[in-house]
Amino acid sequence: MDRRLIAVVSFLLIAAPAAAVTDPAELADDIHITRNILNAQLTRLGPDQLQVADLFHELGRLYEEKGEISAALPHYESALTVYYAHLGVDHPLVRELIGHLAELYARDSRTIPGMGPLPVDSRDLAEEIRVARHIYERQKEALGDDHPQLLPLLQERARLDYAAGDTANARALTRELLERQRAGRTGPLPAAAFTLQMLGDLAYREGDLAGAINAYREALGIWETSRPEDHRTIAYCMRQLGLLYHEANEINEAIDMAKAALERERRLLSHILSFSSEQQRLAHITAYEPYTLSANVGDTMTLARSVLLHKGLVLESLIEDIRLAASGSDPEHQRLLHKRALTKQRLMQLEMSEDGIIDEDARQRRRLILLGLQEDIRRTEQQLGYSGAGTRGARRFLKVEPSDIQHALDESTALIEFIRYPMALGEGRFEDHYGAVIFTLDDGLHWVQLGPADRIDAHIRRYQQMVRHKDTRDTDLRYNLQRLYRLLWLPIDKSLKWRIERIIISPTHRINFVSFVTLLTPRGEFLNEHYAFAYVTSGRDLLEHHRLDMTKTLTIFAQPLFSDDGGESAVFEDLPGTYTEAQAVAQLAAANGYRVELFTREKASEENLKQVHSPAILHIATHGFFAGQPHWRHATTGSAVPLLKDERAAAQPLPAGQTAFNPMRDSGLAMAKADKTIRLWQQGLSEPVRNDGLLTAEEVSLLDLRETWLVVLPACDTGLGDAQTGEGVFGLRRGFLQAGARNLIMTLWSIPDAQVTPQMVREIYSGIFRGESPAQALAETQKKWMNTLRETQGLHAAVKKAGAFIVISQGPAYVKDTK
Amino acid sequence: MALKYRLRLLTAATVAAVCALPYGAKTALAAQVSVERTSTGWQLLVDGKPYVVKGVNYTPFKIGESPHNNTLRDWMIIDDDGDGRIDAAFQSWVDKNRNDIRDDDEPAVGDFQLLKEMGANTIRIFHHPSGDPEIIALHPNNLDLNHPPNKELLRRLHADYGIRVIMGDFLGAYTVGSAAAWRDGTDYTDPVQRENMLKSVEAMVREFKDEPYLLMWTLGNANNDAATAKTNAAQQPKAFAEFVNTVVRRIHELDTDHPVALVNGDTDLLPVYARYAPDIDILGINTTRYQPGFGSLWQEAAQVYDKPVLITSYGPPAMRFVDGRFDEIYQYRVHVAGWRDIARHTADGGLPGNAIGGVAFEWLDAWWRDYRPLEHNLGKHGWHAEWQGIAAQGGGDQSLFLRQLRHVYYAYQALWTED
Repeated sequence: MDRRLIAVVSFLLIAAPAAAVTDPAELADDIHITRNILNAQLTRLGPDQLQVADLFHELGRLYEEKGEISAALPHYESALTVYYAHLGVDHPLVRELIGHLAELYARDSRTIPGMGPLPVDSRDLAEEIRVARHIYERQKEALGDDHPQLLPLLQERARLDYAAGDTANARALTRELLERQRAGRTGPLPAAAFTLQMLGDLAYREGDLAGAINAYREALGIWETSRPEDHRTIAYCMRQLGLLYHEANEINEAIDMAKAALERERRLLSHILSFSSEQQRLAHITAYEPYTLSANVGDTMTLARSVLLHKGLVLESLIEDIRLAASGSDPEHQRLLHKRALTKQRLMQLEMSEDGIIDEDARQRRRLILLGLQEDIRRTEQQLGYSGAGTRGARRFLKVEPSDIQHALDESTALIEFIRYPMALGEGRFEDHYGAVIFTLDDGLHWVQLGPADRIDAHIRRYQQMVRHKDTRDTDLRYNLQRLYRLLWLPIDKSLKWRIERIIISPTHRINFVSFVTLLTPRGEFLNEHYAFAYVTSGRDLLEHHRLDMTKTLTIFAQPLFSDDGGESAVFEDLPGTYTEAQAVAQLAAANGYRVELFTREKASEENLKQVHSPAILHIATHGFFAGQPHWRHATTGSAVPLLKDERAAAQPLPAGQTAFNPMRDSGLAMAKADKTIRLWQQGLSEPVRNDGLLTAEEVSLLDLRETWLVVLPACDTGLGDAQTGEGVFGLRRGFLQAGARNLIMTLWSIPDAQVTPQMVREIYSGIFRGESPAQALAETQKKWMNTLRETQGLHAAVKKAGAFIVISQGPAYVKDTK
Repeated sequence: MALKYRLRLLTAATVAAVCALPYGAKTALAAQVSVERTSTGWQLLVDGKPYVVKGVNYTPFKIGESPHNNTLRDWMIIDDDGDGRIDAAFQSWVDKNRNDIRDDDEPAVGDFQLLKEMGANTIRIFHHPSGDPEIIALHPNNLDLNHPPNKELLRRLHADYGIRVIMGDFLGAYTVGSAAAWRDGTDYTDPVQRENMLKSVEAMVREFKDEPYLLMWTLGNANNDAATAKTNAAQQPKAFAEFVNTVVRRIHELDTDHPVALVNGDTDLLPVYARYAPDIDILGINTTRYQPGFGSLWQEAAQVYDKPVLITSYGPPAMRFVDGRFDEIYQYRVHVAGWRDIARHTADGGLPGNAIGGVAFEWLDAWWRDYRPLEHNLGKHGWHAEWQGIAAQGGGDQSLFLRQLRHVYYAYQALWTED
């Protein structure tokens, strides 16, 4: 292995898992020493030598380790420029560094053109402009017209004028800046490329589309000769240029840009996913708006490829990392997995114990430990990523093409990939819209625009309220369901051939909370009269063919004893119906040759669930909880109390400095002792999180369900969570999928625990034991019960009691048990 | 030793008894400064007129000198060219083109003039270079104290340039005034050390209370920051606060014309001061908040300890490198954001109206801070403490004369000379 590659690999793996966070004082000393060596070598050798690049590289690493990303970036960039010139883009070191830089860019907004060192304070913009002009004039007098110190001042002035809406002046200043940057210089000049992009933005703002295109084209030319080919700046510039072409009605050029940008992103992602943590990966993808150009241009093929590249990417890469590490023989990988689980447990415990700490020193110590644990998790996940996918080259799922998905479908099945994207309205204005890419085997790909996201979201919100509320009138619900049909389904339906019978939905954002079977056609029929529905996080899930190595075991957790000290239920009501349901399921399973383990009352505990290892089917019948809106906490305890009993009225905004909302820690399942824990919280106390009865989604993600074919969660609200990105739902859904479960049967709202649910559950199991896939079994049962209930109890009862169930799959949704 | 301290106590008691009577016996030149609560917030009044502090922490250090090796001289007496004029105050010149050479169009201007042109109306200094024999005796090795304060220089600063002075006592920070061992740091529970510090403050008040340039007294310099201030204020907050209150009361006994500010590190310990140090007139805060401005500091102070707030030290916590050079734009914008935030929270600015001004940190780059006073080095822990000057000293060959004015100088000029 090349010396430099060894250096990079060492850098990535250097943080040995057992090692604590480096002593900050030592780190500062290292930076100090390295900086001084660098200064000396710069003077002696000049900036273009590899030895100097190594020092830049090392300094970047030290700053990054210290957490100063803004300081790390310019050093990495300096190193990269020299490596690139000497070693070429194909050198592993160059590629590794590009990927690493891209990941860092996502955490630092400094590189966005036009961004200054501090956000512009609009309250004092006029004064800021006056001050900047004053400094410029006085320094120009003092330093002389050509002094390089004036250039950043010019850029600053242009930036402020731009922020104030004075585009004409900003443009004039930017032109002046460009001329000065170019004066006396030859060859590509990255600083000028940034300036050109600014100039392009300004020209666009002034309505000079041709000027904007020329500026961006020139900037792109500079980037392509001065930056590695998969540098994110190039992809960004291409997307912007593509949007300009689109607005100028130069569609072919726009499509070319969309295609080229996508390829750059694909290469970039293969680096990023090789050595970054979950949070870093999420940070990176949320910094992108990957569908903007291809969706606006209407290039269906590029859009489909982009969707398959980006959607659910982080989740899939994590699952792959864990699966590879767990299935391998390397004890180091097993150790990393174990360490990750332990560190997450410690972190959760520490976060739960924040109440009642008054002493400032103790608070500070706690903060430092929290940071240390977060850093540990980050590094462990990076190492898992590197040891898994990194050693095998690019990840398999980054190479998925639309044709792969089409061939995974049969002629009667369609995949609907919903996306949310900024729709260009012209004059630089955008509005978020929903759209859908339809994949079929025989009929190719279709792109369907659905309309403004705010409008659709408003109807979905109303839908969520109506299906929950017991007094909803059937006429109101009918209107809502038919309206949603027209908004969400009719445009898609028009593109589907008559032979399509089964639909696989890959939802996004708030569409994650729609049970499509409940939508009503204009003739008043439920949509499941026409189609069967299943759900995936991404269409790529259809290609999941990992064969399960499972034992025929059914493990059941039901009717937990929420308050084991005889106290009255505080939040969670007892669920006697789940015990009856569990017994019926157990008998059915035993009759079909399954070995059944049943945990009820005090044995239905978090601790016992964590001891479970990959049963073929896991059935958990208990309350789900979701702490609701971000940044809200219970008024009394300040902790993440599940809001099940009209507690939202008592919720208060999260005080500054407290732990932010985390849907993976604020949603989960109530197990035995859950009420006792909440009573302790109300007294300012806390239980050890490993068995406090509140199994969070984060803890669920650490369960061993790698060979589990089906998880059934027939309780209230188990499918809820936070769905702000194209990464599915952050909550129990993500937790179980990360743990490895192949299929999930969940609910999108609260369901009555009386007669219907137990019967439906039994029938679903009967179908499964007959050999049907979970999606098939649910579809048939749901269809029957929705119609029956509608006839006997009305529309609302049918939707509320039977419509809440959905099945989410990782793998072919309509394929039966793969054992 | 015990006798010596008893003698000191006796002296202090005598002074107190003498000063307790003639409250009004002050020179006509001394300004009457007070703080007042109005309907819109707190105001600092000088001779009855509102005064917003537009201040600079002013301690020009000659390159090569350092307190660490006891070579630091007091800028108020440095006249290295022997022409009878204080070098920094009257003979500094602006290296306009930053070539480290004094060109023909770069005449001597002097810092006082530069401060005036910048729009500053106040500087913040410490009294410890002092002619008081008792105070000198407390610091046999630490500082160059063996000369009387140059009060005439400060009188000129006020008379000729219109600039007032915030006079401070470290109150044990860096063990100055307490005579504690450096290794141990100042202990506010130690009666002997408390007595030493009280004496140091009394000496300051006696020395300067009738001076026309005096604006206010400050006590400490973020003494609650144990790591840098070398005190146990954070560990013994009640003892510290009670001692502060004792000292404030003593100053009030000696001088009724100037308010007293405690200089705290950010808003830590405010509840303790609210309970045990109610007599403080002004809350001075050294802060490194820059998000931009000072965030919730104003509201927090108003809610916990409702006093007028003076930001006694602020500025970028570390300038960052861009393209191998320090980014002056970053520095100036942090300062501008800080000042605008102060202005927005004065009694005329907006709720809670408790800001009375700010003192920017600092006038000139100080090369001694990393223990190598002949080199201009990067700082540790990400804090480039040697590069925080509003003015730089260039290559260092022409200290204490050369000034390279950074962008932030002109930023303040635009902000402070507007009206």
